[in-house]
Amino acid sequence: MRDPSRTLAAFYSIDELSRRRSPVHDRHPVALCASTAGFMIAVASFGRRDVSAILPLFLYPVLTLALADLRPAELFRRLAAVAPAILAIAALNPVFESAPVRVGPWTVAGGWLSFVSLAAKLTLTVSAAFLLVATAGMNGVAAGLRAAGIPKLIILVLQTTYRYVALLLAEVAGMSRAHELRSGPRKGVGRTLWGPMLGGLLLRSYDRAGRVHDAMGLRGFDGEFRTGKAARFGKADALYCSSWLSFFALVRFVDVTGALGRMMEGLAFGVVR
Amino acid sequence: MNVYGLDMDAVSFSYPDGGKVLGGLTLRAGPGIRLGLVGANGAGKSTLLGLVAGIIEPDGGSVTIGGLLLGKRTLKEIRSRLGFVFQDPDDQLFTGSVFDDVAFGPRNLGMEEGTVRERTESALRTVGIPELSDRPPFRLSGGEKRMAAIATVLSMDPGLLVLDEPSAALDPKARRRLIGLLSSLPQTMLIATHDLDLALELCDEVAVLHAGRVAARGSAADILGDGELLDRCGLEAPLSIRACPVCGKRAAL
Repeated sequence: MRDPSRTLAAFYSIDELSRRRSPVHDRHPVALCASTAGFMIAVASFGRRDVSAILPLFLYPVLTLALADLRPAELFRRLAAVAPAILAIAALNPVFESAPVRVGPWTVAGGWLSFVSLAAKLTLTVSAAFLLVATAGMNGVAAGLRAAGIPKLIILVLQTTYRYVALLLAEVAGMSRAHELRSGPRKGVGRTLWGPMLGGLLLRSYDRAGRVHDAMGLRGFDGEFRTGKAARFGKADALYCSSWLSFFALVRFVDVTGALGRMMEGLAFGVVR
Repeated sequence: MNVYGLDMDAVSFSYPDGGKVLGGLTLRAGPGIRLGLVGANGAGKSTLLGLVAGIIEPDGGSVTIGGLLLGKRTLKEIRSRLGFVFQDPDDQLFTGSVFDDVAFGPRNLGMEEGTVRERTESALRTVGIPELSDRPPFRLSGGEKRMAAIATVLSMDPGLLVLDEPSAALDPKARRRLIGLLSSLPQTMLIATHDLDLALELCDEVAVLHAGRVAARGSAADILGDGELLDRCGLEAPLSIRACPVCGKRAAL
């Protein structure tokens, strides 16, 4: 099992990433949220065997990573963490969809196409979600949701849950260290301890969450997280958002990959002739 | 800044399981006084602090801060008058950066972002950590966290500071810096502590809590120099006034 304190550090590191300055970080959170939402809708709208048509959408995470000055490793680490889940979800497709389909000169089970398509879609959406939080920050995401008309209570639940996860991880890190130091050569937590440890974890984190809530209430917290970020949606934000949304619409309604392929074919044919 | 006095009159409190913690406790701290609150484990120090801040409600009696009676209607105003520093700074530092944590209170008070920035930077300068402004709290040392936690309440410009074990888990240098900082602040202070040397050095007066009541109250030197009283209340004399183990001499108070 991964060291919980490292998981906690990785969790907090997303907050650190969101405080950087870059052409993407400087965009209004609403512009970032709208672009991400448009991206996810575009990804989800493709058919279950569409593979080549989705490929141009990889430009979004690649370009965002570059513009936001984020290291690809930051994203790959998160993707690696969810990769087993992605593969587990997509892996059954080749089993249940055995009807053959032609892919260029090859004939493969249709399930393999939907496997690749589903894995690509999940990779894209997970990447987009990470990039949104790493550039807008959790407060920015909340501001974007608020602007989209999501009720304040739901946003409050989202933000407090996010903070509670950090708190829970901190408690897990403490308990796991205490257990490890007294468990001798034995690895992992014995089954008989699962119940008491889980119960203890919930009670401890509940207790801690109560103290954090008191600390917030004592400093005037009334249910709304105020970030103090400038709330003005400027021209650059509008341009950023509309450019991406136009690109997603283009990819969705025009077969960009096919057109590019035909163009390349034409060029090659011209050269040969 | 307004400096507020504290007045607790016949305050009693019991936990739901029936365990009585405070029974008719009366305690006063005039404006600008640094009052140390000492007592053995379970004497009711933390409960008393919780009652002052309105985190828990008393079964009887009254709490007044700056002449304003603590109640449901006045809770918001009362909380804007006091700054509560928790024993564990991690409970107090919950955002992604020190700046955001220190700015949390002023923003909730509805201040303009310019004023928020001014207050936040001023509070960080006061506690001596302006360079840590952008750091995430979980990367700070224990001493830095303590200073950041104090800054989170100073930015709200409170007239009364309530501190729960402020020197807990600090190394000697960090503790020394803390004493220097607290002694330079003009606010009224209520300091619950097991660090009797800190109480002796920092506090104008000390109250000893025992069995849910104030067993004694007086100048720090008188109270902390009374070995019999301290022994009766489950405490020990501060190290700084005990006889030297080598030569047997006592420091003069």
